Amino acid sequence: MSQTTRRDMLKFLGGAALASTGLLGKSAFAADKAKIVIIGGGIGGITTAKYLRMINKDVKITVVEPNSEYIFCPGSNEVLLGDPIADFIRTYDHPRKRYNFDMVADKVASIDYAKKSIKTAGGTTLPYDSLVISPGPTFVFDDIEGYSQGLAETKILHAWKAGKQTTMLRDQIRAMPQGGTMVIATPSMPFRCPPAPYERASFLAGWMEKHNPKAKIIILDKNPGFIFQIQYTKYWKDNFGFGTDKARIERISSQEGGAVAKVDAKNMTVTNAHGDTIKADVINIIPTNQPNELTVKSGLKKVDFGIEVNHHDMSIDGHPDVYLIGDSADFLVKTGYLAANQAKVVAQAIDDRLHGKSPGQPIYTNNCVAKASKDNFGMSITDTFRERDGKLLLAQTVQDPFPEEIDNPFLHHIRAAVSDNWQRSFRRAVFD
Amino acid sequence: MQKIILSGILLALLLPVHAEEENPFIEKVFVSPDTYAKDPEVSGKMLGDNCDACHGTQGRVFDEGIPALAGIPKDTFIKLMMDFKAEKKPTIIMNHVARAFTDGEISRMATYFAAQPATPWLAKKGEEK
Ligand SMILES: Cc1cc2nc3c(=O)[nH]c(=O)nc-3n(C[C@H](O)[C@H](O)[C@H](O)COP(=O)(O)OP(=O)(O)OC[C@H]3O[C@@H](n4cnc5c(N)ncnc54)[C@H](O)[C@@H]3O)c2cc1C
Repeated sequence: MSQTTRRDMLKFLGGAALASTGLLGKSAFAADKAKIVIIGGGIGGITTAKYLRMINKDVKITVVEPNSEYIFCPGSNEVLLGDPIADFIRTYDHPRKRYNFDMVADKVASIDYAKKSIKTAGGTTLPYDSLVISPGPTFVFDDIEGYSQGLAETKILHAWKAGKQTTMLRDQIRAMPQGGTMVIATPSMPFRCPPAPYERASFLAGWMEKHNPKAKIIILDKNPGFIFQIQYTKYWKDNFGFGTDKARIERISSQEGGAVAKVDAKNMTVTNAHGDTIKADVINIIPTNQPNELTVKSGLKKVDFGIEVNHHDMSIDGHPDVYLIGDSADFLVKTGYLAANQAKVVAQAIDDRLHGKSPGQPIYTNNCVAKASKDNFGMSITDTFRERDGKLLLAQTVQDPFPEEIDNPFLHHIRAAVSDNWQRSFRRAVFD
Repeated sequence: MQKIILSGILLALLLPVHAEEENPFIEKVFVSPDTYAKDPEVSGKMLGDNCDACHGTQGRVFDEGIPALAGIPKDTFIKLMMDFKAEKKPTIIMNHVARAFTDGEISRMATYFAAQPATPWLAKKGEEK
């Protein structure tokens, strides 16, 4: 037997031995095991449960989540092009069994940090030793006249949480009259997945080219500039006449009055900050993203980019053993990639503290992907955040491809394939 | 000179940014990882965990284009990452990923992945859901 084969064999046996002693399987809980409660069964919440169980077989983990399945947002813009939404849905059965956690199918209504317990809308009280909060953002509707949550669920959809609205928006776009107009309105930064509104516009303009060639998309942008602006602008100029009077995509920036002030759902018009009114057949308003109402209601402090956290371990100052991650936390960039990496920092911190150690040095990478067209134009961003004294430092951010490589079609195709690969691997990394 | 410009951008980014007034999307910021070489060490596991989103749990996705990392011999891993870092091996993403880490971090990552079993994290097909 060669060296390598023997080593591989040992590795294999090692793995099998671990599995049979139940490292990841069930273990009987003593009554005094630390109780970990996780709010939200999304990307941040499930990653925390999984990575904590991988390093600690004793703690009792409970995830509180009102929905019986999770629908991934990453990639969900492709549902608008006809991809089945089933590809993005995961049920909790598998992670729950494999990582041995309990679930309470309810919404958390309040948190009592002094008593260290949470209460659900249905009246269940759960005490905790450590609490992890990852409920995603709360959408705000009252900053646009005429807009409401009710409208957002029926006619003026946002589809900023993948699900029923995503397929409804797809159907609205398919039903658009020939030569119709679609408006996509963005909120101001920060909001979850900064490139996604532009990706959405880009995908749909490509779709219209085939199915509704005279139709047009107007992006009403509450921001002056946007991520991957060089790359999207180049793609739109090459493919959609961007910047000409025949453009399939037009963008009105915040300086040009891009912010939506008013929506009239009956007459299907939007009015911008400058008072110009646009009539449209489909209006897709992405609402302002705020830290989740639960975090604000329970008295946590709002700062520029979310709820204030200590970036050393994503804990809340003054509330020992409370951690906050994902879209509600103070991070300029809000992505699933980061929510998952924050979750791993928290899992490690909880385990360290249970063993009487102070949490080690974190690092947060956000190496995200986006596309301008489904199959032949991909992009990537490489962000690295480091931490000193509880504060975040941006060590790197790079948006690829650089202008000098932008004309290489082979690279665009590879990047698009990498993007698809990432979506699949990421869903597995969270739920498998 | 370049360092001064970059730290200026960094400062701008870390100061409160009000989206209405400024564009918070900066195309390029790069601070050499050596700047952080004397900070407390990031563990090999913490570094490795950050790779999972693309390479699978513990680097153990073997059936995709983005390769598995589990079980790569330490020297092979270091050579690859150092070549990415030095741009000796051009790639679409890994050059930028690699250059953000110190040599010490690359070495600790290598130790971590060499110790992971080279078997798929989820063994059986069809169990994904
Ligand atoms: C169109 C689109 C595309 C995107 N593409 C990408 C991408 O390509 N890459 C990427 O990295 N990110 C992407 N994102 C962003 C990503 O989806 C989010 O950043 C990520 O989901 C944040 O994780 P989270 O845990 O904070 O919130 P979520 O994943 O939204 O999970 C929150 C969970 O908490 C539950 N919850 C809410 N309130 C309560 C309560 N009171 N009690 C109990 N449970 C509660 C919710 O039901 C939900 O299941 C995209 C987003 C959108 C909208």
